[in-house]
Amino acid sequence: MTRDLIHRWFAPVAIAILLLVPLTTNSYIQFIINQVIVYVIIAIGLNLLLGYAGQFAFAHAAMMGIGAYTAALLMHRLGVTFWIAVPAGGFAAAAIGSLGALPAMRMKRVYLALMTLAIAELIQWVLVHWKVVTLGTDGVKIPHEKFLWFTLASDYHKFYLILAAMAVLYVVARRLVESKFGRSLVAIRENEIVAQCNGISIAHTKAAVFAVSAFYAGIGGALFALVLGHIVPDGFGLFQLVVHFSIVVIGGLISMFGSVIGAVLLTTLPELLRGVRALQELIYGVLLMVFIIFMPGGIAGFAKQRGWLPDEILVRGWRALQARLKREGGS
Amino acid sequence: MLEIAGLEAGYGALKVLRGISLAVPKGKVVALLGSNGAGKTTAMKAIMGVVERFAGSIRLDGQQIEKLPPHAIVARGLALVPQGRELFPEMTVVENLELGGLVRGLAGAELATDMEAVFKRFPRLDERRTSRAGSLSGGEQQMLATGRALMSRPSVLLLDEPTTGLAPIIVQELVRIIRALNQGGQTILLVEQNVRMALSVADYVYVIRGGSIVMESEAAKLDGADAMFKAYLG
Repeated sequence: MTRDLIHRWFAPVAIAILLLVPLTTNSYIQFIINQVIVYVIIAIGLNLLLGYAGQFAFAHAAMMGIGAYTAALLMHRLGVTFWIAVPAGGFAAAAIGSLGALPAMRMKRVYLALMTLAIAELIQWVLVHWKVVTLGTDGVKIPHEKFLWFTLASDYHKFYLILAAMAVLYVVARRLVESKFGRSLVAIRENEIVAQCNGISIAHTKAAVFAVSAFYAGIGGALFALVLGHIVPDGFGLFQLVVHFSIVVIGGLISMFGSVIGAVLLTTLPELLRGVRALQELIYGVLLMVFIIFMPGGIAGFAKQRGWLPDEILVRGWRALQARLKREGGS
Repeated sequence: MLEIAGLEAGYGALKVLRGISLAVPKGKVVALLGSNGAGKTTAMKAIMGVVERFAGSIRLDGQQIEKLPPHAIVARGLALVPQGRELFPEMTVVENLELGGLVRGLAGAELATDMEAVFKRFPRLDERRTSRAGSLSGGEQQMLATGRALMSRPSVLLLDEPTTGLAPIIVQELVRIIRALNQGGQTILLVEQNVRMALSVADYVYVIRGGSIVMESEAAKLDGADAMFKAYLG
């Protein structure tokens, strides 16, 4: 009973606490919290692709870069408002990301990983060398736009924007994995041939999940640009990818909670490790290995085993249907 | 009715099926018999579109389906119960069945009604609704795989070696199930190595060897001990 109460009230209480966060933080802590929320969005996108669909694609950081650069350049060069620039970042990443489904139709596992990694490197090369558009290694500065009471100069204002985006994208992702689409992803991950023989279109489903995942990375990247105020190509390279993978693996694959837990831990960890910056990548690598070997379900998987977190459902209304079948079966 | 004419299929440069032709009339059980490596499973996969087809035509209820991708073929009314069952082991019985109903967009009451029909047909699954598919016995897994295929309400059901690895008593139960399905009007194409079992349920039999149909006959006219028949089966 207590556990049910906790599960039922967890989300509303968490949202209420989050809304009050800016009252208790200084500017630095608020900046970190904003980054955490951005990484939740990015991790949810990667979790859909890697966890639910089982696609070993390594271009997520590059998709984040496309979202960040699309939004930043639209604002910096064309003076487009962030209300348009941020969604544009998501859609640009989705358009390019859906192309990732093309190699995924023919390749699996390590081959897909290598191919998408090559695409990611190519994208980063373009960000560095296409200076006329991207400003190269100088990076792009985000203008401090003002819209009524809202200003991008304030970390507190940005927080509410990012929080709202995260809440919407979290709910959308939950709905997606609970839908026919989510079940199709899991079926494809488990066995593509059997999935096809159950009427699932591999081409459509893969194209859709690559696009959706890239959209999340793109929106995350655009918001990341707003949070940082200045972006450079180096920020979307291999280390960024390692961070993404660490978040979803340590937080927990195939779990929305896992994305949140991973983002909180791995975004705050570098701040705690500021004194030993050189060791950061090493620590990430070691943590990744330890979790893959000893706790493959991540922290969320462990918590679910213990009953601290509820099982996440795959199909909308599944619990209601299960209860109904049980009732009818018992009568 | 399923009609296959001159079907050639294989893997890359390897041609496994060398122009097979067979017909599965509506309401009948047709068996495709052959030894290991004869091309039985490739034939099933080629019909479903998951193996490359080089030539030939496949018609389901008069419609050409040989150019369609697998998911579209399922939507037209073919369902495969694959060799080795191929369930989703981490999903529950109910979740696996739901997956079978996805192709028709089943939801809510309609989904529950079809699922109840499966549970009525397979009472042992009824008792294990919330069990993980991977924890079921071989016989129960075969029932679940069959139930999952039935959830798409197929006009023709393809059963690929359903008796593999099952105890004789379970095979008998499977025979009873296939007969019951057929009596309910279900058209079935059965691929088997177990000749005795196949002859006990089939109306018509084809024998495949080296990727070609080498013999066909009404099941009632065949004697499992027939020398020629045994020679063809290798």
